[in-house]
Amino acid sequence: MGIEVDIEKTYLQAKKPEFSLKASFSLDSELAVLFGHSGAGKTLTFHAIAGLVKPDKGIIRVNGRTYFDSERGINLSSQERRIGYVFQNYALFPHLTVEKNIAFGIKKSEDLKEILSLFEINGLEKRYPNQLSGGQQQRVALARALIIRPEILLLDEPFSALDHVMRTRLRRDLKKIQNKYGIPVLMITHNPVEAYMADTLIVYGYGGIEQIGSPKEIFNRPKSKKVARLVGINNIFTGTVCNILEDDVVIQSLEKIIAPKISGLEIGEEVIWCIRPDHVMVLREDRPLGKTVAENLFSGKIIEVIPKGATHLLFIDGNFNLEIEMPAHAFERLSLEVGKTIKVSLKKSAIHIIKEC
Amino acid sequence: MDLFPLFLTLKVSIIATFISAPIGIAIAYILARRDFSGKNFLDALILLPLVLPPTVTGYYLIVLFGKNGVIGKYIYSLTGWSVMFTWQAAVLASVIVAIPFMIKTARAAIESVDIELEKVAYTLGKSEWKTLLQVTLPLAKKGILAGIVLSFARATGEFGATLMCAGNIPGKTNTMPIAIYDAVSAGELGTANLLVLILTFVSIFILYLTNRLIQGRW
Repeated sequence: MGIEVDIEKTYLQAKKPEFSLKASFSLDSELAVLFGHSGAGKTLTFHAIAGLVKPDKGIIRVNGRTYFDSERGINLSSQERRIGYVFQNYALFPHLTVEKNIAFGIKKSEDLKEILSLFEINGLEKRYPNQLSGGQQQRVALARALIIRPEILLLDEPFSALDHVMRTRLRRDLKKIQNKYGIPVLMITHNPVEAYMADTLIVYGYGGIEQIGSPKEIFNRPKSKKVARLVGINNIFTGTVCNILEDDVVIQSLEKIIAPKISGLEIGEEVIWCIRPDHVMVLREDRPLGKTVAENLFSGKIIEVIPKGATHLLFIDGNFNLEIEMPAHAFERLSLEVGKTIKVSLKKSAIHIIKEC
Repeated sequence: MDLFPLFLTLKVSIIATFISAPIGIAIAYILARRDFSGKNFLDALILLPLVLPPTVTGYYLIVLFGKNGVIGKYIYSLTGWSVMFTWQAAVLASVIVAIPFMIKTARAAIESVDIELEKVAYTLGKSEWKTLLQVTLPLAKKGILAGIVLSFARATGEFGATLMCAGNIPGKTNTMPIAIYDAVSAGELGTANLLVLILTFVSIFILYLTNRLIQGRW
């Protein structure tokens, strides 16, 4: 079970290429998230998988069945592909009741009862879509997509129109779906929090894939500056390698920085290094420093604070201009405020070196 | 009082509507959902009867379907029959002048149906034909009904093109509008008044009926 995609598609505007997409990935039965800004080509990839757009060339295979193969001239119609596709606005049929919407793709409505209770929409069968809340509409759309026993489930921005409570609920529903159906689930999002749910994260740049990996890997070890920015790393600096030690490397930036060694570095090489805002440690002045945080110590003045609920974003101006994300309770306990000078540690293990330049 | 023109007009208009509705919807769907070269030309050609004087449209019909016409001569040599100056010619004229109304309104209605609803139907295994019947047309129903009414109304009022190719044969091709014209030119104002009143009431009744239909739940 799994999906294999390797496609190219170019759109022309007045005979000149206007947008072109190149995407290639292969996944098992897991939750994969297509992550990136809008306009990157994520929905286009979905349309290609669903047979709504024909790629210029390439292959699409799902569970060993070839949906599309430009060289062998295979191009199954959407109808033949068995795709569970939940559109961003759910695309429920406004003239049909919940029951008829869900049963639209099946011949006998024997699975209806089961799916109604799986998605907890019993009692709503006779309603029309405009009589449902956003969360209910989405569950109807999910039920309608899954009742045809699809080989793969595609969800376009499923979280975008939901409030916090419904988001949590959808996470639970997605787990249920995976356990019950065991099919690959592909989901589009531009929200880093939802991207973190993925087993595999596929990061889209404009017109192509930038990086594929586990969310942890991508959020902590982005391959490029572009990916780093996409996953919310704004502390990005350049420097020159000035010393290579046994396990570490020293980078001459605005200040000297010590970072974990990666292979292939040479002295004098220009590199980019970065650190996640939530990995910057704000130090308590009344406590002696533990060994692990006694690396890369800097100080700076707080110039702006943005509360974000459970965390606060701090911007400091000092040796390095840093963005820091810290728990709100720690912020309160240290009685921080704009104008105060603080000490921070850029923990060696949290520093990530990007070799591109 | 001879009611033949009223019945003829109703017969001609109903048949013309039954012909122009399916053809009009099919063309409207193609114009709304397909891209092909010559689409703009086809669009213009279809709307031509809206802007041409009906007498010109009627003249074209004579050129096409007359005994010696481009198409008509083959029909005549095969069957010995010509459509000209029969009540069927009135139907033909009505279809041609009424179908642009059908196409225009149905096309707008079909275009207003969210195309994602059709796409989702395809992924749920429905063919384009079934999707059309189960999704697109039911959702475009109001606009299509409006188109049917408009084209029916246009057909009942058809005068110029009908006169050109069906003529004014009493008891055969004298439709209401032609009979009214006749009555007025002969100075029979009583007959004219009566025919005008009947035509007006029939029209009001039809418009009222469609409004009721359209306001109902889809």
